Amino acid sequence: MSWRVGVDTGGTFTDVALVDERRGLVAVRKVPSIKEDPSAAIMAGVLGLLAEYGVSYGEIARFNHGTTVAVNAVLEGAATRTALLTTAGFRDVIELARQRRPHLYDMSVRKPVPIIDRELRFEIDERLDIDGVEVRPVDEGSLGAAIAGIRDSGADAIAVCLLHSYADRRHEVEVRRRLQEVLPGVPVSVSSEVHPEYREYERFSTTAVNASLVPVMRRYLDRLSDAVASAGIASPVRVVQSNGGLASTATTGELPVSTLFSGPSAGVLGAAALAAEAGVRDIITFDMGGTSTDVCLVRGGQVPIVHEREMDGRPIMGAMVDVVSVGSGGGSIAWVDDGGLLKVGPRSAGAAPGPVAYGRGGSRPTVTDADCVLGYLHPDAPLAGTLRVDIAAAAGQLEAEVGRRLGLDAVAVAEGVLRVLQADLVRAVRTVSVARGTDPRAFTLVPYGGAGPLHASALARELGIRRVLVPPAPGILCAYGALAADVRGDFGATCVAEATETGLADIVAAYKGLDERATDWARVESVTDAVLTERRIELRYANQSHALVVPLHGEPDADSLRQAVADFHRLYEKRYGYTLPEEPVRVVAVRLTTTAPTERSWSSQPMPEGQATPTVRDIFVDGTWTSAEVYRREALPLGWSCSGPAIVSQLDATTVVLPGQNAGIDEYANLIIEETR
Amino acid sequence: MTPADTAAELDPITTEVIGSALFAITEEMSSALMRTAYSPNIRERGDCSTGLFDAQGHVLAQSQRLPLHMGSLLGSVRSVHERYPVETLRFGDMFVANDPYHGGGSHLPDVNVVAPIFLHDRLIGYAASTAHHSDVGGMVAGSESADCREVFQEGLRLPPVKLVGSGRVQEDVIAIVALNSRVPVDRGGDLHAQIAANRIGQQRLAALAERYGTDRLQDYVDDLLRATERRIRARYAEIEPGAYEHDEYLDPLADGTPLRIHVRLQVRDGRLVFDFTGSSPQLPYARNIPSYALAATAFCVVKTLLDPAIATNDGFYRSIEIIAPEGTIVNPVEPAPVGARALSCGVLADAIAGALSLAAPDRMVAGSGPHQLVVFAGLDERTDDYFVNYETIAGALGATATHDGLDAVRIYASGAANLPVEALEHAFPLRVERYELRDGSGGGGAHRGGRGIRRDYRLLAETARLSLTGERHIEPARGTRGGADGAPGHFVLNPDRVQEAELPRIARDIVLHAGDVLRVETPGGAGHGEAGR
Repeated sequence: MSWRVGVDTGGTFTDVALVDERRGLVAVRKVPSIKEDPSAAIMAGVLGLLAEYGVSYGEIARFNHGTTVAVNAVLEGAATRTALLTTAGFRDVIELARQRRPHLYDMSVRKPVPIIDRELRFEIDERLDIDGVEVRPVDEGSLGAAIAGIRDSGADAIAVCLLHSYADRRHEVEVRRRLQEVLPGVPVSVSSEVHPEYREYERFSTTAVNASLVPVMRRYLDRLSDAVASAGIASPVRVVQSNGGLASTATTGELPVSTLFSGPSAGVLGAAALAAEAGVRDIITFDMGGTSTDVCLVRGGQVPIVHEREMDGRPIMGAMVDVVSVGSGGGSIAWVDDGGLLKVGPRSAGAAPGPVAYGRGGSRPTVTDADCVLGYLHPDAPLAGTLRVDIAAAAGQLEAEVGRRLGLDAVAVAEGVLRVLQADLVRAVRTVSVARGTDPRAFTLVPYGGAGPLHASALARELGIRRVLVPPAPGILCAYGALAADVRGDFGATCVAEATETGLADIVAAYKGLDERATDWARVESVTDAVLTERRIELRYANQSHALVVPLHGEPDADSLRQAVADFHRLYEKRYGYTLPEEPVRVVAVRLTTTAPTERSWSSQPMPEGQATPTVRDIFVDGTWTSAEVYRREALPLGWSCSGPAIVSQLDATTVVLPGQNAGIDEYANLIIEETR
Repeated sequence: MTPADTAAELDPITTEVIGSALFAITEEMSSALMRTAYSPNIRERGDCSTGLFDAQGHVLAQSQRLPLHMGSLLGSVRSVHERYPVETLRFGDMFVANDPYHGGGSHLPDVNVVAPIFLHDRLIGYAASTAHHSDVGGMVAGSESADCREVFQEGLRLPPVKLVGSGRVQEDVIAIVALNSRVPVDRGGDLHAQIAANRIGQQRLAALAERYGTDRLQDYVDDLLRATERRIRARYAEIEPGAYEHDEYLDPLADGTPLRIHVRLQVRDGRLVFDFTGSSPQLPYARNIPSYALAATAFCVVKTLLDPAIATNDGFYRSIEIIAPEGTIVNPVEPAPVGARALSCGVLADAIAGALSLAAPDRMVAGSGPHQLVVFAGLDERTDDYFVNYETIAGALGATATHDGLDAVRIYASGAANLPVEALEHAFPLRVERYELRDGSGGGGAHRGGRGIRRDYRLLAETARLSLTGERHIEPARGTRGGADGAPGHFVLNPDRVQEAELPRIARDIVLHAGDVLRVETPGGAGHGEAGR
């Protein structure tokens, strides 16, 4: 039992990473994704790799994966016929949203189609108040009628969303019990379990999304688990959640909404883990793919967590890695607007038809085409080992679609495309750094994704970042990240109380509720040993509604609460430059995280020995054609170094080193680029 | 390869990159403002905007969360530029202004701070920020009531006044603003946040000028404005030249006098001219639209209908000319009150969109339902505290030639979010018993108008006072090309009971008792085209 398998399913490729627990990352593989049955692509990739390296199935200790099943189902409009059961007068909450237009100016941008059609929304007469006190009991007649309606509707999944259920779940539990008596096979998601916190639109919407995903996710996980088990792999399948932690198929099947940002979270986790191993704890991750770019600022090795993100115009609540996405990627299309300015995106050629240079029918020039024209991508180094880019075709379309209108040749256009792209990327990085009061220059940029390493050196230089760390396998970092993840559960509850001894009883009771949920979770996850518990508490000033999260050290009691309040004042001062010491502090919510850490026994990556001999080709950089050394990443030994301009290509990515930058390989097989100017 | 960098031949790519950098600076200014502001309205709802201007006062880039702010940023910089000649300005100066008649403002709570930017002793531009301050004095809390009869009742009026002199904050000016506010601490904090935001704008624009050279940067900035103008003119070129007239009506005065907004749009020579001659005289209450709110609404509607992605800079703005006779609803004269202009701006937006729809039928949009304002105030017996619940409830957009109108959204230049029911019931002694789409309120048609909202509040406190401001209760949103009108709005007391009563659309201090129910039905958007076709 000494091997681990990490998998990441993407839109185009399914990536597999194979790790030997004694030696580290041994091999990676990309296989085409199969949309109709993602598990088939996974098994093809995994079994192929195991066969090639002679690993017997019984030796697999871990099988972790990041999945796009949930996100694809949401983006494509879930196939599940889902019913809603809610408080009388509130069936439209999931459609009303928050009164904001989805786009400030563009009326053709629509509100998201409600997950649940109006005729599948059923109301029951019941009501709790803000403290969970019953104003009206669940009315038998209306509940019976609603259940009959749901039965007749043929719904495949049900969401139960009652007002103020975060304060007391008894009405929701009662309703679920009745539903399960009448409709035993239909999965029920209740809002007080999916997201037991106040604000009805966000809770109802998250619960509705979850309910619609349960049948899809269960079907998928059952199929994958069966395939894994029948291949003779004994390890359980675990899934990376949006919080960057792993969960069992049982948990994920109940709470698929927690996997919507699975892939990007795994990537951040992998980047943070690799960097930390190399002694770098302050990083900015830069994950650039075909259609979008994700950035995340990791300080002190701590992956930042947020509790609300948007997916396709819908709010998703829960613990998620704090990644900021922009719509620029390798497939972003270059075009000229009616004012005569060069624009890049927001439209993308995506994976299909793709960039012109891929020769798959794409005719609109893209960022990737610009990379080809400037010599960064070259047919001598086929992408993913098979795809040879067509430089002439790329140049032709850049000139035809853009150059002619601007009076520029293909090379000038290509350079322009990258400059315009860079302005967007700079903005994304500044959003997670400068805009939050952090100077990015003290951080190391960690690029990954197919297009990250291509553009990282220039981006770092523009930002004043002096160091870039390119992971050993940047194109499959999400698959690797899945292996670095811990089993993790996040639990939260609304708790409205004074942050003093007066409110202590309520706070203690709220944490007790979280402890119970965590205990149940640990049983499902079979991680009862060696579980770490961290408590955090959300506090705010009495007359403001903006809350900050601070740690609550130890058990919840008067001392730890006092400490948390002191920390709150300090954090507030740091964040906003002032405090209100006289203002009473209130509790908004309590949070608890449990983790079962993954042990890692390897401390370095296997690396080749000997000398790396470069080839030479011309690339366009700093406004001129220069001769650059071209290396194969796989051949670079420990201690290797070179000065830019240089290109380092590998199966899953290509890295550009600019003049004035030095590149080297560290003892963990990372490619380190440093500014010398 | 890259074209020679001469004044004659500017590199279009550098123009785009500089445009992007300017916009990024305004975004960074907004982040700083939201991060350091005291009041939740600015910090959490982002009720603020920032902008960069060149040395002549032309706007280069704006980051706006509320389109209505486009006007006051413009107006405040213009008023500083006019009142303080360049030779009187010093490195590190900043000015504060909010007055709609003397400070380029939009209404008094939107306070503007303007900072000249110097590099090597030369004025290179201005940074400006506007933020909605929750209270600047006046006769009502929140400094915004339809009931005010003159601007003097609406709060503290500021012409451009020096707020920072050579880098030193004039705390005495802040003290005046604070003393006039019901929430004095917030005022100082919010003004300091605006100063901090402008300082970032000063530093970043100066750095950009250092990098490219001040004159070179100005060349590129001029090129950027020209490119933006070319782009919007390409949209205008798709419109049949000519004159297009449209009337829109606000709900009439109590005596039945109709209130008209008349627009004559001329499309000629690559420009749009909006002439409001013929609009009704200014109102005796605070629903007048000052000139910079008029300009902001016009910019917003043109951008929405013709090019949602057009940059909001002078190149776009100068392609639009506005003629509004003094003393009318759309250009009131001092001391006409203007505080609650936002609802009128909803109808104004329909007037502008109506004229533009005639000119560009493929972009046609039917009338919309503006938001409604309700204020509950009284004693919360749960805490023994006085409470004020100031709430805006969205109407809906009209149908377009291609789409149904959006249900339950704020329209055009306005854009705040709602208050969740579960948060509201924590904060106020009210219970919301119904919150739903108002079926049938969107006008029918080939494309349907957006549906408004129905929301019922039950009072739990012993007693409370209710103030109401509604629009489109009498004059509905009008359908286009055979589409049906949107349903008008209603305020109803105790619906479905014997005491049921329709309440007036502008009312103040209605006394409610425990158990009373207020139903708000917001107006729907109108339909477009005949149904079934």
